[in-house]
Amino acid sequence: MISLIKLTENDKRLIIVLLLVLILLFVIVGYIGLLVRKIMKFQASKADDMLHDVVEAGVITEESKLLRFGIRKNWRVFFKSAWVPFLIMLGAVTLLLLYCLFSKNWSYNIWDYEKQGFNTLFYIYDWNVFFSASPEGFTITWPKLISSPHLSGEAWVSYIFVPAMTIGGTWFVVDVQAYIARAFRIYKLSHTAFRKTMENVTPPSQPIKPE
Amino acid sequence: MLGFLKVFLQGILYVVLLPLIVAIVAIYAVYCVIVFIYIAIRSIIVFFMGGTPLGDLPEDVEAKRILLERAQVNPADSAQMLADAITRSQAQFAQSFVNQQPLPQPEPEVIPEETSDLEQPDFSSLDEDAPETIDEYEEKLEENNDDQSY
Repeated sequence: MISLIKLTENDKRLIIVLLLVLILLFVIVGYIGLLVRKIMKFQASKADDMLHDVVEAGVITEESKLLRFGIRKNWRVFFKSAWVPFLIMLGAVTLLLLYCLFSKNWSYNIWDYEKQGFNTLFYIYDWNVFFSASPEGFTITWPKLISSPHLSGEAWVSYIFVPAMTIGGTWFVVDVQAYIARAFRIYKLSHTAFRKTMENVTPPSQPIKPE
Repeated sequence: MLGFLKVFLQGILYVVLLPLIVAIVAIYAVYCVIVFIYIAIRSIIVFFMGGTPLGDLPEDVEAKRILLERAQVNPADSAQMLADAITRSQAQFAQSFVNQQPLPQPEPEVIPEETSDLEQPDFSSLDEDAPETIDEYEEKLEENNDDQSY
């Protein structure tokens, strides 16, 4: 015998709210994707600037050579844009390693919320009891507060490491995204730059008579 | 509505493909870190060998040289065309002088008669015997002088 789950009015309202939140989430993700595609299109336009002169001057006339030149030029452009965030991340990692080395504490937790970690600056809740389902229905319990924001002297390394890695990491990922966008554009341009097209060809007004 | 639906479906697609996208970006990030370290080491070696670490590639240098040459050639072409035009006009003038033929004159501009509301001057009060040439005027003067002498 199949026992059906009985839904109360509150349960139905909760399901509708969750569905609306899900739809909103998908729409937000869709718009973020659209924004990322527009940004990548803008970043890819730099590839045209990189390849224009060598094609215009006739220095490179083959697809394979243009592709290899574009890849080398892309590496250089990436290096020039990514050295700052790379140094920031390297500095943060070096600081953490030196601290662990001199304090001889290799179990330093940067996400701890009591003494050592960056979460000492935030409200921390126990989310384990938030949502529970039973044959009688769904229950939502407001999570319990287990830690309030407070400054901890022991967590000074986390206060430097986490923001530095966040800023440096985000900056580096944006540069990687730009590299990917330029790489795709270079690949496309190398295959179309020397290809002839019949779109703008106009035949002569008078046919050429054979000799 | 269609636009909203399109964005909603794209959102579902991106959520479904998110692990693949994250994997591709992660692989490219690791590749970029390796490329970065390679370029950094290469730049340091080139710097200590006396070269320019991140200077222009040889193809870029060659392209700039060719484009600069083309830009320098183009203004000279314009000046040559102007000199040719001047030479042609001078040759035409010299030829007309030698052949005793007048230079082609532009057609005289025909100015239409002005019609206005102003009154036209009345020349009817003028003396009909007034001299029309200088000789007549001198003769008239002599006659007047002869009359006055009496």
